[in-house]
Order: sequence, then C-alpha cells, then structure tokens
Amino acid sequence: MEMIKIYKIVIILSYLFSQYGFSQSNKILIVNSSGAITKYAKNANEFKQSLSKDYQWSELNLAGLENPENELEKLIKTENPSVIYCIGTKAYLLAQQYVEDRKLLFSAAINWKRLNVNEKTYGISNELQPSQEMSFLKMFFPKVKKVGIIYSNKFNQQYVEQAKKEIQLLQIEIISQAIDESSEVASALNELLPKVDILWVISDPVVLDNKDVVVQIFKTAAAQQKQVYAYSDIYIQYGAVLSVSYDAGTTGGQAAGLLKSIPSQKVEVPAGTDITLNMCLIDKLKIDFNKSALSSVTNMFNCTQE
Amino acid sequence: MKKISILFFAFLLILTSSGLTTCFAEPVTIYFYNPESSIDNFAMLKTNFDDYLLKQGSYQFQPFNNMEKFEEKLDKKNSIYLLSSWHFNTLQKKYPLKIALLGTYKDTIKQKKVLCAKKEIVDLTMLKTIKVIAGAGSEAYSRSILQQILGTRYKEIDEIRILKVPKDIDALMAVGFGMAEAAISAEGTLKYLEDINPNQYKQLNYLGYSEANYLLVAATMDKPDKLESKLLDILYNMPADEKSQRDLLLLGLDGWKWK
Repeated sequence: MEMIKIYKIVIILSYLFSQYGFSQSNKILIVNSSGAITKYAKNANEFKQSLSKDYQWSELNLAGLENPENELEKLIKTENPSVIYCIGTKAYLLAQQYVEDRKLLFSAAINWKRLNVNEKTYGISNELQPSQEMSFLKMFFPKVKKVGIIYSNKFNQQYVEQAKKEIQLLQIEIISQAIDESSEVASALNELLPKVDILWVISDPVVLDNKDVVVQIFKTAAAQQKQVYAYSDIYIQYGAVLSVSYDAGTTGGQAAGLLKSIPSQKVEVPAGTDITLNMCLIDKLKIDFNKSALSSVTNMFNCTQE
Repeated sequence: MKKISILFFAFLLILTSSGLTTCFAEPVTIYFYNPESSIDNFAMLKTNFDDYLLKQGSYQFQPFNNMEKFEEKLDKKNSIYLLSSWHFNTLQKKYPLKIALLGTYKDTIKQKKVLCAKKEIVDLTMLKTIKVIAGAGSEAYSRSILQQILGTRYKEIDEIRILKVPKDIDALMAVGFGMAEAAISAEGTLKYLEDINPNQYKQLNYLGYSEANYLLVAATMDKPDKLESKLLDILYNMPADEKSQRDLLLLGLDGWKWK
C-alpha cells in the first residue's frame, strides 16, 4: 500500500515537472530561420551530427510558417528543452522572447553585438575577426599593403578601430572613410580609392543600403582599376576578386561544443572559413596572385559561370 | 537477299562489339576522397577536373566527401583512385591497391603533421590541460595522427574534443583566436602562417611530429590496364598546361612522380 502511494507521488511530480518549466537537461530545440538556405541547413546538420548521444533534439523551421510565434511557444511547452539553438537573426529574435531561464545558443546572426544577450546566451559570431580576414587577403595577394574601408560609425566604428589595431601587426595599413548615409558612398569612394591597393567591403547596412549602391561601389572601383575584397561570396557576382566568410559546417560543430563545457568566451569567432576566388576576373585582368593558396579555395568563379 | 541479310547482321555485330560499346561505355573515372581535409570544394573540383579530362577523351572526375561511398567504388576496373596515403595504408589489407603516381609539391613527396599548442602549453607534461584540438581531417584521421605523435601518452587525451575545420590554416588560427588549445597541421602550413600572420605563429609551441607520409597518391586496382595507364599519363601531364597546373594546385599538388 505504502509503495503504491510513493509511485503515485513520483508520477504526479514527473507530470508537474514536465508541464511547468523544469527543463529537461538533454533536450535541445533547434530554431532555424530558414532550412532552405544552404548555409543554415549545413549549420544545423553539422550541429546534430556533433551532438553526443545523450542529447535529443527537435527542430523548427521558421520559413513559410504563418504564425511562427505560436508554433515556437507550442513546441517549447511540449518539448520543454533546456537549450534553444537559433540559426540566423530571425530565429534568435523570436526565441529570445520565450527562452525564460534556458540556455540560448546562436549562430549566423548578422552583427550579434546589436542583439540583446544575457548571461545564459552563447554563440558563434557571423563575422570573422579583422585579422582573420586580413590574413587570408595576404595569403592570396601578398603585395597588398593599403586596404580601404567605407563604414558607418553607427554600426562599425568599433570594428574598424579593432581592425586598425589588430592589423598593424600584419604590415597592412587600413585607410578608412566614415559615412552617415548611403548617399555619401560616391564621394567617399572618390576620396578613398586613389589612396589604397584594394577596397574591403565589410558588413555594413548603411554602406550596403541597396542594390544600386552596391553596383555603384563595384563600378567605381573597377573604373579606378581597384579590386574589391568582400566579407561574403554574394559580392563575387558584382565583381569582388575574393571573399572569405564563415564555414557553416564548422560553426554547427562549434555550437555543439558550447554545450559540453562552459566556454571561455561567450561568443566565439568562426573557426572555419569558406573562400571564393573570382578566377574569371583574375584571368581577364591578369591579376597577380599567390597560386599556392589555391589549395584553400572552396569555390571558384569561372568565366563560364558569368 | 540472303547475302544482304548476312552482311547486315555482320555489320550490326561489328557495331555492337566495338564502336557502339565504346560510345556507351562508362567513362574511365578518377575517384577522389581525402580524409585529411574538410574543404567543401567538391563542386569546384568536379567542374575544373572534368573540364580538363573531357578535352582528353572519355574521362571523368568523381570526388566524394564520404569515405564509405568512396570505398564502394573500390573494386572497379577502368578507375583511378586519388587518395591520401594514410587512407591508402588503411585500405591495403582489404584491396589489392597499387600506387602508380605520387603527388609532389615543391619537389617533395612526403610531409609530416605537427601538433602545436598555444604558448602556455610548453610541453607534453601539460597535455591534460588541452580540452579542444582543431584539425582539418576526419575524426578518425585526426585521432590516428594524435596516436602517432603522442604514442602511449595519447591515453591522457583520448576523450578530447576534436574541432573539425575545413583546412590546416583554419586549425592553426583556431588556436590563435582561442577556440582550441592545440591544432594538428601540415608542417608547410605553419610556414604559411608565419608569412601571413607572424604574430599568431609566434604564439604557438610545437609539441610533436607525426611520421612523414606521402602527399596524395594515385592508385589502381592491381596493375593498371591500358585505359587506366592512359588516364594516369593524362594526370601526370597536368602541370604541362597553365590552366590544368592550377587545377592540380587545388589539391595542394604541383606535380606527379611515377612510383
């Protein structure tokens, strides 16, 4: 009789725990901004593969959902995860509202410093460190000494200051031009381009405000026979000679690693890189580059792809 | 009429036994898998190598990012297998693979892998303080290299986390940026780091070296037949042309040497 009573209590307590916020330590909810984006899908796949067998996961793909808030809330209630892993800014902004005391992981969130992060938030930044970017530039174009950046103080003042400090050690000089509005891009380019060997396009929503400005940047640089180095491979089609960005698979593996122990840094730099080289442009303009670096290339844009 | 029918059937027989079978036969294929690198460059390799090979005849390049799928192709004739020497050694017991060509880079055919750690880890007595090792290879490859470098000391870190990155230079920079305490890398890549980021290079300590292993090798099942020999010649001649020399560099090689 006593035994039956104990069992009853245990069953009732388990039910209450699962219903009212006692999160399950081995459950992870992956919230993906869009599973259709190749990089996000790769990120999620590597994350799942890198998880140890002790973890169970469920996934919510936000793309195409009519009411993502409801779906997420429902899933959090039924699954009761201890960790929510967000891929992309959209997923992070949404999950943040329902996270409560759970651990929140993120990756692929553009400019994470703009996001609200608390003591239980950890992540992998979308952006590489300036010295990481410059090391790869040097690897392909060792003769480059002066690099130009146009940036907005609102979003990138800190990044540019950090870049200038870090890059001194690489014997590269950063020459920068700050703007407040995208309408100032043209004059900034005319001021900057004659002073530099290459233009470095960084992730800046003011500078890269719209497609017309992007086209203008690449046209002006080409007219002044200056190459463009970009933070994302989407700019290769506009005429960037090289782009280096984070490798989504590595980021997924890194995020899984953040579950295993308390990391030394709350937000880690991406450990893996994707390199795209515009071989079509290199051949057309006979641009001198370090051919030994070819073994590091992920994608190559050939003239047949134009 | 009878004569015409006989002639017609004889003609058909000739067509099916020689010309047509050649037309519809599977092209001679180079199968590629490299567990020492995780660069997701298979689409680019396929495009560039097929472009070179198709100009030479009915040949194709088939890269794999999955070891099991690559190994499923291992009993085929009319095939050349492009693989790492570490993988070759693990396969030798199961398959009669024979190396035909050794990949070269700057006149060398072998390379050593190095285990290096952040400055604070001065020697192997501090091995236990390492929690994450970055490496570009598959988990099995990285652990095998660690065993080779550390010998019996490997036991001290057998449960360590391996952070898989696309290439050696990423592994070395992962130490510099604090995502790993140590990295496995080819010796040559350390020289690279010294050139492109001397500050990060200075922050590294060498903890040990692996044995010297061949770079990529090209192998066939048993002795190469006529078609395979022709394709091996085509592969060997890649450095003769500027464009195909560049394609070969995508694999980290600048030439071949006959074994």
